[in-house]
Amino acid sequence: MGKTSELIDDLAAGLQPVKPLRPVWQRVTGWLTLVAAVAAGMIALRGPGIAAMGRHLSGHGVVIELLAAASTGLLATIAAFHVSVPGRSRWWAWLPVPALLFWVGSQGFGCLQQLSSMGPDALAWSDDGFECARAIALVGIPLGVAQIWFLRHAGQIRPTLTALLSAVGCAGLTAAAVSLIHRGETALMVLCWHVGMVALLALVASMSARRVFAWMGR
Amino acid sequence: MLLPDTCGPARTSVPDTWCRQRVANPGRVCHGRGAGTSLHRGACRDRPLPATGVQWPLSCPNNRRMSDVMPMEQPSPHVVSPAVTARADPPDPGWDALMVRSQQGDASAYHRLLHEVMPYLRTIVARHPGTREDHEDALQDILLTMHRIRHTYEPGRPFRPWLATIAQRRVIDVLRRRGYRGGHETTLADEELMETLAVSEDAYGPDAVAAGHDYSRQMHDAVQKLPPRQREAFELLRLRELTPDEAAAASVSGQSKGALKVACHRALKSLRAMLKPEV
Repeated sequence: MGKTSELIDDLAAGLQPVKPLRPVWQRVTGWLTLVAAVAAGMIALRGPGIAAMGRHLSGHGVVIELLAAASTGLLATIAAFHVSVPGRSRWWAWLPVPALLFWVGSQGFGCLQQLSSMGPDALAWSDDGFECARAIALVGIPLGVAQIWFLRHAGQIRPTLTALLSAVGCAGLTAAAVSLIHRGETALMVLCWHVGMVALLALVASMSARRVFAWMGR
Repeated sequence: MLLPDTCGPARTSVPDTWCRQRVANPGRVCHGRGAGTSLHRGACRDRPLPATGVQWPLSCPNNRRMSDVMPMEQPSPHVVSPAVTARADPPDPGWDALMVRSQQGDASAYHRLLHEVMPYLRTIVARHPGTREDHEDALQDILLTMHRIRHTYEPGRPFRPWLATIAQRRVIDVLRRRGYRGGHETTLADEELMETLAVSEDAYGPDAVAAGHDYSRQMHDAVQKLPPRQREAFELLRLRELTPDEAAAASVSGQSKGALKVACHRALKSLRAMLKPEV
């Protein structure tokens, strides 16, 4: 107890005032504004143009894919900001699960629909999706690392869960932006390349979370 | 009790634990409600005292206990109103209020908070297996983490869940690291253990020295298998080399000097029996 008492005395003697974190909803809004700006830049650089995008979005399946990816990313981002704060319930981590299941389920259902309408062509493998997966990784990874830095205080309490949700959030939102500019892939390719890349980034983030937070000094 | 002259004309006494601050108008005194339970939020109540009917000013610039502002003797309770008497003994500031003040840089509040949470933290740490040193290390790690991320506490939210999350997470991490090191490293305590038991090469052969890792692991396991009172006596008298008086003072189970010596002797016999090689 002696050493612990000395530690308490030292901590109190060297106390500096700190500014508490802003409310979660404020920080989420700020972060999503940044992500929206990045996505808008990506679409402006690589997008097909507004008219073409309008035609692209007239497809029923594209809108569902866009909404499912965006809602998964948005809910995962909100969950990451909540679980990173001590005292907030871990149950927030389940928030993006229904949207994620809907995303996977809608693409799976899309596969079946296309199989009935297009026949075996619906299952044809296409490397065009690799470009989309690469875009998701190239944009999603820096965004994910930036978000983890933003939430670096979580390194002491919930590093793996925070990193996992951050990765799903950033990758999901990036996938939603990519769905606006990709060139009409089949549902199977979306499932493999888009959803698959999000899953891969989430897996890598959860495995390397402690190292990343330690690298950030937490 | 009469109020001091610095607060204006003498008036009816008020409970000592009420916030007081002399406002710009020297003829008036501001009284705040809720001091002692938390920082009283918002404005002080503007209400009359029954004896004099004085109206107090609406705003209180400071949220401070009377004893922090100026020391005063205890008031006589019979002159205050029943409503005041009901609040004459408000509770100490909660941990929430102390944490808010700590975030603002109040070192005394922080010092008090850390001492007050120690029993609560010990309860959490004690639920996990480990030696006394491990638990103390976990406690210190929790305090350091609390200090490092104190900015994550959100004023207005309950403090205990915030603290409990940090404590549970850190104690798991610390004790998990200890368990890993215990299986892969040779500790100084294990070497002292070997000397203490005076293991002879005749009993264990020259390979015992070369196989230090394996032997220290056996030693560690054997000590952990001892009954709690014997293990404690062995750790205090042999490993930490405390005197019998110091060991009795440090004993968690409350053993006396004589009991510790007897328990240590029995621990040595048990360890020799456990570590005796098969013939």
